[in-house]
Amino acid sequence: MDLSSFYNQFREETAENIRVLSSGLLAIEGQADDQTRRAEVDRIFRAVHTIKGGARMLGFEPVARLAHELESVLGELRQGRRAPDHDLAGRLLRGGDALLELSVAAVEDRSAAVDVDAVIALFAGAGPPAPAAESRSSGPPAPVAPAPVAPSAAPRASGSRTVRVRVDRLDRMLNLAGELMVGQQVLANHAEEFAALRLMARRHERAVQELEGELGRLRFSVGQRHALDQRLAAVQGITSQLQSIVQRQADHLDRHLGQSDLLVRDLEQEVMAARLIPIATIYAGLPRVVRDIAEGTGKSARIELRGETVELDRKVLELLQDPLLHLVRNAMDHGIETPAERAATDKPAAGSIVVSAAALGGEVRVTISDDGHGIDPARLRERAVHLGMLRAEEAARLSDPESLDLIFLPGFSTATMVTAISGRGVGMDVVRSNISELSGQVRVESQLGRGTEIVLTLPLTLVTTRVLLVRVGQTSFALPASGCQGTIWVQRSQLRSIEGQPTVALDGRDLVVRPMADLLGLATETPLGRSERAPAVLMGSPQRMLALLVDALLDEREAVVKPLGPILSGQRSYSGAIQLGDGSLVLLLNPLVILQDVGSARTSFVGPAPAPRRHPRLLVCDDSFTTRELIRSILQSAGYDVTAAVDGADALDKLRAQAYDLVVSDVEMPRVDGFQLTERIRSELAMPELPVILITSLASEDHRRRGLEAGAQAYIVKSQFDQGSLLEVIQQLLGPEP
Amino acid sequence: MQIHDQPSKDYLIVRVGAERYAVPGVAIREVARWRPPTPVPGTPPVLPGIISQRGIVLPTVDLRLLLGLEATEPDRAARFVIIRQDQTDVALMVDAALDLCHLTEDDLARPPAGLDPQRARLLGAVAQHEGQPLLVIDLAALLAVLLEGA
Repeated sequence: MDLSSFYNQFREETAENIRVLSSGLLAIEGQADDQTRRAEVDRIFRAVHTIKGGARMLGFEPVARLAHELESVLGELRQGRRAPDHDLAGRLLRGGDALLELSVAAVEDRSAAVDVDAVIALFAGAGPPAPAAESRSSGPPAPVAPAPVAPSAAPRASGSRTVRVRVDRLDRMLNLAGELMVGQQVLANHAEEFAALRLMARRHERAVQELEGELGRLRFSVGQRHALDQRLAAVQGITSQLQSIVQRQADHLDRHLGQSDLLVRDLEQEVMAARLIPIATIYAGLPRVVRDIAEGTGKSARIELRGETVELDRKVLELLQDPLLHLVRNAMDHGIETPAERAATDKPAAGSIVVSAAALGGEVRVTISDDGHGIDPARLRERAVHLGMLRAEEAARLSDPESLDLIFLPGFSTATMVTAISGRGVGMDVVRSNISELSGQVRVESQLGRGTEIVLTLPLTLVTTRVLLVRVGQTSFALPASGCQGTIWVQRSQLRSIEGQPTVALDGRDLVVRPMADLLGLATETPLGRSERAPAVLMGSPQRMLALLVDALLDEREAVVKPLGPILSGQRSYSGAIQLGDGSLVLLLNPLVILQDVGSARTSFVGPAPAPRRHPRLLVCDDSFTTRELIRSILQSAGYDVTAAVDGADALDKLRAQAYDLVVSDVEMPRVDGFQLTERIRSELAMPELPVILITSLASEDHRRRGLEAGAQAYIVKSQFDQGSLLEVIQQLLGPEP
Repeated sequence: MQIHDQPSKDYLIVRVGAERYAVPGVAIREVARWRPPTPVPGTPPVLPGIISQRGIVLPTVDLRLLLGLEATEPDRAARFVIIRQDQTDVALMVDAALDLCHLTEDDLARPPAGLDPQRARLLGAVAQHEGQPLLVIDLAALLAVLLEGA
């Protein structure tokens, strides 16, 4: 498993924990109140403990060793066996510096500018009356001074500095940037008014000129003519002044608008960029999946990961993770042939799977390709007919590329392909729905005998969404453009009734026509009732497209989608609201939910959807981000559905809100620790059966006993930790195969 | 600056129908002029729609309907009292915002028995204020009712 994506997390986390250590030590020195002091010692103990745990997980032995040393000194402080005097605090601070340097060096894979043994020796001598015999024979305790070798030089040199910012704060900044965009649109509306004003001023000028011409042809006395000329000159003067003022102001406004538009866009992009995370974080589990399947099936394949540095919004990454895993599993299971088959077709014995990511403008394209035997469109068509998803003549009409799209139908999996690994019947349709939830697209290309390529096109970020504005009755609604396949005009005379449903023919296929108002439960007259023709939006996937009649197509634009909040969360037909330039709100429809209602009618040719088999749901609880994400990623790639909690209290909240099948928890955590968590699961939540696994670096027999007394089923020590043993324990508790 | 032993709390007095209600001041973020909300088809009449207040989309709640009173056309005095309770923002539609007041624990009495249950479930207490009864709204209960689907 590739751990490199965790290295940077570890480095940042360690820097933060060292900061906690330093500020805590300084606070203890000046603190007279015993209770506060104890709390502070607890805090720094946990910080060092977290470093130790993370280092063990990532195999940074010197870091773990030093952290262990610091931890035991802090443990003595905690138990009051040692006094936090100035001298000890100074040594601990130096130990902290060394720890940071060691961590950075380990992450950057260079040798550290610190001698671990010398630093450890700092703490050896001054213990309680303690075991002098135990003092290390290798490190003579005498020359202690040279430990901090140029402590400032190394960390400074490495790259740009970083600050950790909470995601909700970034979200707020983004919301404000979005608001500025709305304000910008209001200004743009003003600019349009100005342009209209300019036009008006020009027409006014022309009217005055015409009046002048008209008056010139009439006969007046000299006195009258003189008076008229004077008045006309005055009017013309004002007109031209008006013209130039309007002109100037319009120019100013335009220029200002153009500038601030650039600034607002820059700002928005910067804030968005701050939320981006490299895709490498979700690549991590893939090689293991390939290896596991290769072992289980006797196939041989290599996976190549490209474009690790491409960055995506963290929400996009979260939703992309499962589809990506599934597609790689599929490629391995359905795509790559056995070595014998490959040898027969002159292919290299080892198959090749390539996952690559590339940023293209505002989009990211993720491609999963294999050199396996490809997908046979004819077989897919047969299968669809066999499953009753298509009528034979419908199937015959499908082109090869259209046939490939069949794999996205719910419940479509060729029985001959069903295996323990990927043929679960949920799969490609979930991939498509996840991707379209992200406003992205999935495309399949396959050459029989040569391989398959699946291309996911995703937005870099979910902040703005491209929407189509339509009018239904008197109300405007927005539709995500990604869910629309196009728009057409439907003529009343073209409607044909098939199986009692009004349909319209498009490119040789019959599409069911429904008024959008029906799907929303709005009581308005259907647009075709009033006029001969009406616009319709084509929605759904290419296989099950529907034409939804609306009263008018209004506009297409980028918009910030705002959540409706918990009270309206039950209204699943709407995924949010967008604000128009004039400040008015428009509801954003959720095509998946709206089409579900139609899907249940027999309009679509989809058979009964198989009940998706639920993956066991695990709760991972650890206050260290690195450890939490590492465990999460291991479990996810093993096929479990994983939720993370940041400490025991959070875990209890999550357990109250939702049912889980198993809990994996750290022991040392703030607020509620692992022992307390286990006890409270048993007593407070009354879940005596829920399996709890404790993972800890506290290797003592005493702790193991405490854990089992609290009611934990298993106890894994971090230093012995490897993913195999964790998965084994989980399988023992939950039964085999997620 | 607390001089008395009894801490007093701020309340906003609002008019809903003919009755006066008190909304706990700590939860109030803003009072805004009423404007027609954007309807959300499929929601119960108690939730007449959504409004945008400084870029945040809020559901509006028709307090008249929620309290079991007749709906009426809002007039110029109508206001949205925008509250935040348990991380949830809601705009309560009232007929008028009247005044601020301080009430101490001593001022508050249990709501009388025999009230219409639809109304009683939303009331935390009853107070006497300037010789008139004042019904104190329990916002946590109100939110719970709304989350249940009103």
